[in-house]
Amino acid sequence: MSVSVGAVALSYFFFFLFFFFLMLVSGVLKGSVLVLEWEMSEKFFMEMGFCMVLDWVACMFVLSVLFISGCVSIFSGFYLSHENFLKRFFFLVQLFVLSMILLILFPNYLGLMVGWDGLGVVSFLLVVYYLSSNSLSAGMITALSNRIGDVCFLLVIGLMSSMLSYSMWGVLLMSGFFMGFLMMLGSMTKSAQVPFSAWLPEAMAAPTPVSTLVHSSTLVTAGVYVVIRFSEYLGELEKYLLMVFSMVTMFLAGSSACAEVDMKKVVALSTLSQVGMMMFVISVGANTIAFFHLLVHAFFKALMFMCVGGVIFYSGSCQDARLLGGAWFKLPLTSVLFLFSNLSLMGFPFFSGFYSKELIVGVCLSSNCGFLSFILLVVCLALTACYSIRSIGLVFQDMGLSSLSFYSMENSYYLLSLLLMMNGAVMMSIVMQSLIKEFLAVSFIKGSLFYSLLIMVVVFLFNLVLFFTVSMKTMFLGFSKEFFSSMWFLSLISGNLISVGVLTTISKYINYVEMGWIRTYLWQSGVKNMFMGMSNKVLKINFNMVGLVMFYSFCFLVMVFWR
Amino acid sequence: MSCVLMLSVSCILWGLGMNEVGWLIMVCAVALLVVMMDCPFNFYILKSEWLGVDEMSVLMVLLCLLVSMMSLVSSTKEVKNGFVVLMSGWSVVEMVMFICLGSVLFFSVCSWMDFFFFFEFSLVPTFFLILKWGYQPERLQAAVFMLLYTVGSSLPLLMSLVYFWSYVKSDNMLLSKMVGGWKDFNMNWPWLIMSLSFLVKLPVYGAHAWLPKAHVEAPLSGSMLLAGVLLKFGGYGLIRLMWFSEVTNSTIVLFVLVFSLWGGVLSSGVCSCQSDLKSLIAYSSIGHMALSLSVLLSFYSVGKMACVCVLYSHGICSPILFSLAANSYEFCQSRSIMLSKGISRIFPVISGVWFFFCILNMGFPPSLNFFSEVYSVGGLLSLQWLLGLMGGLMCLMTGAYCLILYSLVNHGVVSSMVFKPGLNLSYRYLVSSVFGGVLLLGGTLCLDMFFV
Repeated sequence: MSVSVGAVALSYFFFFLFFFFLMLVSGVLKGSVLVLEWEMSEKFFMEMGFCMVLDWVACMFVLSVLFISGCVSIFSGFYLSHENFLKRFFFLVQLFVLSMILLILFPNYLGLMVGWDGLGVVSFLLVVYYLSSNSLSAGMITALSNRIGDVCFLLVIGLMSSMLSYSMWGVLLMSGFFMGFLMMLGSMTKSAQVPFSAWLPEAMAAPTPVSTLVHSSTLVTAGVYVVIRFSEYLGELEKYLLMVFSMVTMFLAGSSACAEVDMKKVVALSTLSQVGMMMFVISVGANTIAFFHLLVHAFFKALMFMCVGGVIFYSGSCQDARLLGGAWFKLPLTSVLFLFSNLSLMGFPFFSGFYSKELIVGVCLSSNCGFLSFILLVVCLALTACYSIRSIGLVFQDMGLSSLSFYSMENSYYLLSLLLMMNGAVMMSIVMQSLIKEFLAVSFIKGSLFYSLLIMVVVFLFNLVLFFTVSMKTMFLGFSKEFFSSMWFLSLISGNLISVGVLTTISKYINYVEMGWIRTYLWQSGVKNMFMGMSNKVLKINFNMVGLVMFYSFCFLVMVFWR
Repeated sequence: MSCVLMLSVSCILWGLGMNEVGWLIMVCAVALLVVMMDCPFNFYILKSEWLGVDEMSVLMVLLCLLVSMMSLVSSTKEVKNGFVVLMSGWSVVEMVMFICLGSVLFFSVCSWMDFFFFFEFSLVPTFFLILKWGYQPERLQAAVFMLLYTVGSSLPLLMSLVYFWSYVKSDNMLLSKMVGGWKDFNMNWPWLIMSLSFLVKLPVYGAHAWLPKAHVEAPLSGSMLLAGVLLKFGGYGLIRLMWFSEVTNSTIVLFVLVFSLWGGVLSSGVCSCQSDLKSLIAYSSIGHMALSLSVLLSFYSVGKMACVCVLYSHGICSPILFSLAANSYEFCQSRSIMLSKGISRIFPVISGVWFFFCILNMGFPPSLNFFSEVYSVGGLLSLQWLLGLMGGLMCLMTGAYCLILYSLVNHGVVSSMVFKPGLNLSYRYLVSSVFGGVLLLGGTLCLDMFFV
């Protein structure tokens, strides 16, 4: 087992270093771009081919994906150490990383679909890895939500086939109206924006290494990456719609994370709110800042998932946070890193999340996004603080109910993966800001003390109000807990209502139309009676002497006397 | 080139005599056929007085040979069955060879009467195959269904072809088109009646009742040939008929288009609720054929190309799914989804192959199925945005039932109701899948050959 884990992880890190070296040497950071195109067919008048683009955006994303996959493979050596089919798991993870890299490197719709479909299908396999009915239903809703995005992208390709090119620079030549809207809709399904958000918390039925790789940094950010690449296709109306949907997603995710009890679902919902924030930044036009937040968030969110995974593993696979607790005394490294990643998430000054969040708030203040959306942004920042502090409290405090009765930190895979990830999460934002000058944006706000203090005071007061109301018990509170903990009933609507409705309608349709009309009426009563009746009549004629003579003499007369 | 075709036909006839190595002969036939792949596109060439070749017919002949080969490899259990060898009369190999011969000649002839003859000819060996080697007593009604539906709806075609022969005084496809056969008629309603035969064979949704029954009751080689080759007769016939009857894009054609597209959506939905594995795959055939028919009737050139590509990729993928379902049948002696499940723990390679072909069926890039689906939906979208939306809905439901099929067979634990599970599965069902997988994935690299 250790050989396969070591081999897989080493291969990821080898490719990481190889790519890093290649990037430094080839001068990509100074702005050079490599474009390779492979033409496949000339029967249509346009260039139908796969076009690979290697610029600094692609390089940075590939590097971070490879680094996180390396750490995840070491982590899965710890988490799935008792698993029989570990080689199969690694094979699936490698397929997933391959699809992601294909998606990143080919910003051309024909090549992108390889990675896009591959991501959807391989994440289905990873979610149903534990063969239970719970994971099957989670896998189905994941795969079908992603399939809706596939269909939107198929329609985009159909629209693009009448324009001149499939790549991201096709907008310079010709572009249609619906392309931006369908592209945005497809990306929204993959990145789990409203109304397609139900699959992300359900997909936590997957093993934790899968959640670390897939649901924190790669799958949900694939939609954001596609929107960043093809962002010139978005017009005013599409950007406005994207802003509305991402705001609703941020608010939904933030409020649901305050009421959710499953630890992994809390982290998933925090991912959802951060992805909503990235989409929001794209909708006001700052693509580079969204990409910066994407990369930085990938690292500390993966770290958070790993810490949560360690706590869950040492509690005997218990994911319910009401039964957890006491990590402060028993798992010191895990709790320090969990605290660190949560503070990064909140945007605590000079942690790694601070740099990107400061840029986000700055660009939103200085652009024309409206008063209401700014208020909602501040509310979402406050909600982020609220659920982060709540999850820290849930994991750290010793309630006496916990099953962390013993600890053993000797597992070297766990420690190694945590330390590697920690390095990445701490240093990544500063390193990126120093390496890539586009990330060091300056926004033109009047840096006044009053406004910054105002935001801090608002956040603090809001959290105070929330914590006070949560401790009261009224009927309104009971309803609002139901409302928030099932993600504004979205998971029930997307899962139960739609699937039960569709399947019962189809079954009734089969009963009445398929089996009833088509098979019974048309065949058995209609056509069969007609054929059997006619053959009976012919038989009757043949067996009756008078009828026989008359019939054949009639035929003879017709044949002789025609014409 | 006609001598190459004569050689391959004679190879098929030679294979008729040999029971054990018939498939080996077919490999030679395929190799010979690949030699003649260099004909230019969009031209219809008359090679002799009975043989007419264009790229689409070469593609279809290749498909026939491939599918017959795959079906012979997968059904060696029935070939080597001692009981059947003792009985005198035809064997499975000869039946499959007859169907293959009829199909190859159907796709190559260039006169309308021969075309019709071979259209009906391949029904006889199929009928016999279902009756003699099927597994259940319902096969009698299924075979009669198939025969009566198909033959009954092709009688108007026969009448109109005979009338046309007497009108133009020539039977040759190319010659009669060049003389300008049908241009004096208003071809809307007559076109519908003539193409009724092809629509039933294809099958369009209202007249599809024969297909699930015939596919389910046929033995494995019969199912593979039905799904792989015999459904393509309808598509090929429609393409030839449209080319030669000069029908315009009128209300009748639009009616058939919308009817078939909506029928495809409905049959994909029906697929999600089936309890019998083979019936599920049969309904998926209806869905794919409906998509190809609707984009063909849009009268775009990309429509015809996408239709041929869908026919080809479905013709390779569907027989392989049938052979995997036969694999499950051998494991638990039943086709029901309640019993054949949970094979992911015990047969990992077969589970991987199931997954691969389920996602290929739903159009996974960069395979041939993906490109055919993309250009079908694209062609429909260019015609009318609502049709494109329905095509997209059909792709969504295709994805749904393919994943349902995969999870039904592979997820969970093996059913405890399986009494004596047969754990000695041979790999003969998987040989054809490797072959077909390579073809479907590698078809991306030579896309010009399949987009005819």
